[in-house]
Amino acid sequence: MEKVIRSPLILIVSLFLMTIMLWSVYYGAFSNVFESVLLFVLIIALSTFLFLILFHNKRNPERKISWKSWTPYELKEEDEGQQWVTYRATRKVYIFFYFAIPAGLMVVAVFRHIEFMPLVVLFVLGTTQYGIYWHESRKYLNDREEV
Amino acid sequence: MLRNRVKELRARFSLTQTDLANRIGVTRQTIGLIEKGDYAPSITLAIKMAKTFDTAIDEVFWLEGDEE
Repeated sequence: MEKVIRSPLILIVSLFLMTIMLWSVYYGAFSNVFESVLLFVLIIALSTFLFLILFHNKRNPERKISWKSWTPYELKEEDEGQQWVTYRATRKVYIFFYFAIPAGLMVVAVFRHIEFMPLVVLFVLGTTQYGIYWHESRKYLNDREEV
Repeated sequence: MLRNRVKELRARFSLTQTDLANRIGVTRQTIGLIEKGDYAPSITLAIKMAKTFDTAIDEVFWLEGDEE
């Protein structure tokens, strides 16, 4: 359960749904029915996510996931080993943004005639960030117990 | 690079990764990272491990190229 809550894949899907929603609302790309369905899906997804945290905290009182923390849920920092994994993964994400932000600015400027381009660029930056973090942390933490 | 014989000592003491993790207050994943040599533990953690195995730190960890 904790794996699901902390999976950046959840964030990628949420970002996708949010982008489609904003695309539909502000650019009129889809029908009102589609918007309502999407809003319903978003509410269900958010409720499920919050319920999973509640359920996890009840089952694991010693490993509670904080509601109040500003630290993203996917960052595992329970001990020094996991802090090191977070360091490795966030370092890679920083390197990505170091190059991706100037590139993104150029794409937005060059394709300024495509009005939803900023939305697309932000979606790509966001999903790539989550993807890099997920791939890097999985590389270190996705092992099986050795007896 | 830091080498170690955590896995070997753990087997000698019949401890799983989870057992060892619980004894020194870290997660099982951290034990896995240390055993694989991906992560070099802090001196505090190294001391805790050596104490658990009732031995000196340099019997558990040593630098690559050094005599064991």
